[in-house]
Amino acid sequence: MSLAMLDAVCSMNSSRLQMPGIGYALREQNRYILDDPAINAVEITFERADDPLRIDRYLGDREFDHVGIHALKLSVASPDAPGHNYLETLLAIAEENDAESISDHLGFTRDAHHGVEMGHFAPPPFTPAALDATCRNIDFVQTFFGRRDRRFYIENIAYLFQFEGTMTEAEFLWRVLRNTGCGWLLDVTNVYANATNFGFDPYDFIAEVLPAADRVQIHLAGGFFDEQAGMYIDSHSEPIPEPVWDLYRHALDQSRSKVDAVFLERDQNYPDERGWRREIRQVRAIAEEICSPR
Amino acid sequence: MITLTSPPRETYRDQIQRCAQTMALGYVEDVRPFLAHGEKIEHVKLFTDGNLDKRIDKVLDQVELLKPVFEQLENLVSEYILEVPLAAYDSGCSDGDRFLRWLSLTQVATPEQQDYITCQLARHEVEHIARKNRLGHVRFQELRSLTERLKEELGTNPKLRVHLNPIRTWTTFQTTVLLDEGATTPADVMFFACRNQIRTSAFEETGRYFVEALASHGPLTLQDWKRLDRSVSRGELMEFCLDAAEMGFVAFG
Repeated sequence: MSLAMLDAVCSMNSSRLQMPGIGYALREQNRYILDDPAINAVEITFERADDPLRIDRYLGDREFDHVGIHALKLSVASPDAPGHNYLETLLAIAEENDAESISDHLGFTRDAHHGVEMGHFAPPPFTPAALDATCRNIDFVQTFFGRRDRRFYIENIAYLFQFEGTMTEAEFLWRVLRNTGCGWLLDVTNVYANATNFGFDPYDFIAEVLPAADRVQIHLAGGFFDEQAGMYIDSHSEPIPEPVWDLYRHALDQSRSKVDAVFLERDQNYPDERGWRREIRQVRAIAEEICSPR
Repeated sequence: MITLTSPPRETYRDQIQRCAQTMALGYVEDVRPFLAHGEKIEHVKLFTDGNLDKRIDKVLDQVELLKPVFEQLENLVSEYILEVPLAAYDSGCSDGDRFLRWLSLTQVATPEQQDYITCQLARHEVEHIARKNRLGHVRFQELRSLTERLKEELGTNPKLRVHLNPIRTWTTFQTTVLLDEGATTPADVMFFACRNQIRTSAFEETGRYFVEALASHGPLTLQDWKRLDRSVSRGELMEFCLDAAEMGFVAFG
């Protein structure tokens, strides 16, 4: 689709149904295009905004219809609840930037409060014990954030291996959402990556989990297939691949009344200005198309 | 009698501890018994290698200052991360900080190298103090934004108080490698926050005396300061305050 056509789609404002906020996960490399007409939402990665010397609001003077804070270290599948200091700092960043939602990943990054950090989230074993710990921690987090009116979303992660378990990822996630009532940060690319790497149908996965989620946010990104490892790697380094666009369209179509925001993530091989604008406009164009009255 | 320990919960804790502790250092064999049927240990290795690579990059970024004086810095960081796991809730500079302490313990540093380590540790300390005292940092910087205008009133407004930047730390350099030409050593150096930057200032005896006096008295007017310390003249105090305000570690309000 040409930029001119995308512009035309972006300017259509006819009686939209539940249009989600659309925007980027904020990086210094895309800050300059945040005034693009396709963007009315933004996601702040907590660890990037958490500069102890900060004076100014991370978003500066910019206002958005939806601001989400995305955290990396709540480690909700750890045996212990997240630490109070981390939660307080997270909330402070949310309040400074008028964020209405906070999200993190369905996995564990550490073992215990005074233990070690792995640096990235591993999937929990899909077992009742892990489910119990995860739901307990999400309840704890939601109670903490809920007092200040912040909704919490849990993101399905891309993983490279699985622990022995007694249920599927979809069943585990369904139970987490149903038991806790938290929102689902549906990372479409992660569903695609796991489906590619572990041999399940990504459409079935979304169909199975979606009924358990009251509210939804969506993540989109592009990775690559690592021939040596024989796996799709969710590297956030490439344009969104066609199968992910298709899956995004499907996810929106299935859940459009629930989707609060769609965020596009890019962390390496940053595109030029045209590339930044083209991809986010395509995200919006698809949402406009799906959410317009039929 | 009801038992308070839940066996599945403790078993789960054991599993997560064993997996996290081993994966944090890049070792994967202990994970093997917990993997799903058909899973390859190479994929766990891919996960841990990726994490360790990112950690190396982050630590190198945090100790960039040391690059000119430690030729094998990257190798040293690689050695460090295989010995010392990342601590839970590591935030910002704490991993870099631990690396510097590890470096001091495991390597024989020249006095010049040691000054670089000291300098980087002091910078981290400023960030640490700012994290613990966010309100103090923000309030002082707000006051500082008024200081350019208020400094004109320093000699005439009897209510104007002098505030010392609360986000500061002292260290001592043993060599001149990081000091201006002609500086004497050992030199007392103050690191302090200035907006979202860290600045440094080397002090001779009088300057340090003024800073410590201000630190112990708290915010006070020039008149009160003079009353508390009769050994210095009003002119000397004013000169110090104006210079310090210019540098960013004193504000008026």
